[in-house]
Amino acid sequence: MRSRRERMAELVSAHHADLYRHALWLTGDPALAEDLVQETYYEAWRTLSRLGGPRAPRAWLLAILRRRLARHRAAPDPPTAPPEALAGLAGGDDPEAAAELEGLARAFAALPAHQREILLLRALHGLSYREIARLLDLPLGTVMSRLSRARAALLAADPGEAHAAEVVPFPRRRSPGGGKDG
Amino acid sequence: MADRPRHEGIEGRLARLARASRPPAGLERRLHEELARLEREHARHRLRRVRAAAALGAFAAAGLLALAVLLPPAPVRAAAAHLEREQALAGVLDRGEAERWLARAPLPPGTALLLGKDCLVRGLWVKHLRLRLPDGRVVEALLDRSGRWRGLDGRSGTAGGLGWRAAARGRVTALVFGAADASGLGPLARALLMAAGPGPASHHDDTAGGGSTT
Repeated sequence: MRSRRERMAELVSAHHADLYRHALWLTGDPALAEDLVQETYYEAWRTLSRLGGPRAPRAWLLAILRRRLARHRAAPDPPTAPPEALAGLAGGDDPEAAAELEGLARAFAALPAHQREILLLRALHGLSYREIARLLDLPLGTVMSRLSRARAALLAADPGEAHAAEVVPFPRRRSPGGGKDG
Repeated sequence: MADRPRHEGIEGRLARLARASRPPAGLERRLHEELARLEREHARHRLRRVRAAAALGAFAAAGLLALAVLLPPAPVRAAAAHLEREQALAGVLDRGEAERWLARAPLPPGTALLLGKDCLVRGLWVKHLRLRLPDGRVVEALLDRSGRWRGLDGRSGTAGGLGWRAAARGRVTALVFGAADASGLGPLARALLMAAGPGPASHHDDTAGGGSTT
């Protein structure tokens, strides 16, 4: 049986980057994102032995990160994600691509927090609708409708997506409760 | 946008964009170091708790050992048991009190306490002990801590006329009488004085007697 230290080391190696990105794209503050990741792993370290090891470590870590972020948001001076901050994250060598991504970043930053979060869970972490519903403690239908609205809002706000004809805002061709496929 | 795959949707672009954000250099290393530090602290804390538990255990063991050492010797325990068996004779028995003072009795080696009880002798509560000396002789002892022996009459088998009148309140006075000579009873009397405990309990005995000796 692996020790807690070994299990935590695996969790860090496997998930720290995406956790950081998640926190960064929700707060727009690199320092705060780093703090949140550290707090998340501290909490995970504390509770890992009690839980006996999470079955879905990414969702478990994200749930912890959400709680930590909620605590920060409840602070008198809650973190925000200014569009400029996220636009600055786009970068890239190709000026055209960079401009397009910057537009997308601005569009994303302009979304309400709950839409940004649900989009990240889906796009960045690849969670299924069911996993998102469990993580956010929402009905599956609510997850689907929120995602749909988030996609639509992003599409509407992102000029670079105007000619992306293949975008399907809501994958109606699939079963709504379709597990990993969402 | 020439490098953007045609099939890439809004989520794909968003994911690509998000993944372009790199964690700060050294974040992973710092996380590993922090977790290692937490593990070390946790181990130290656990070690401290184990040590504290061990110390507590040792303390408890020492207490038990001390209790075993301080337990009344077998003759005294036998006397206490005897005392309990004599309830019918002793009347109401203050068991706890008797056990307490009996437990402190440092009897001379080879001396057995055959009987210990509280007696009322002419209006005074005294400790009444019956002891077997190392040479097999049995003696009776009356111990009084009130210092009021002066009122007793020697002819009735108590302290009168035997020098106990000098006893003062607050001092323990012992009257030891029976088939023993004075030289053998000195250490015994001192031991009994040290052992005398407070509190009368019950045994009315107005005839405590037998030639008295100190």
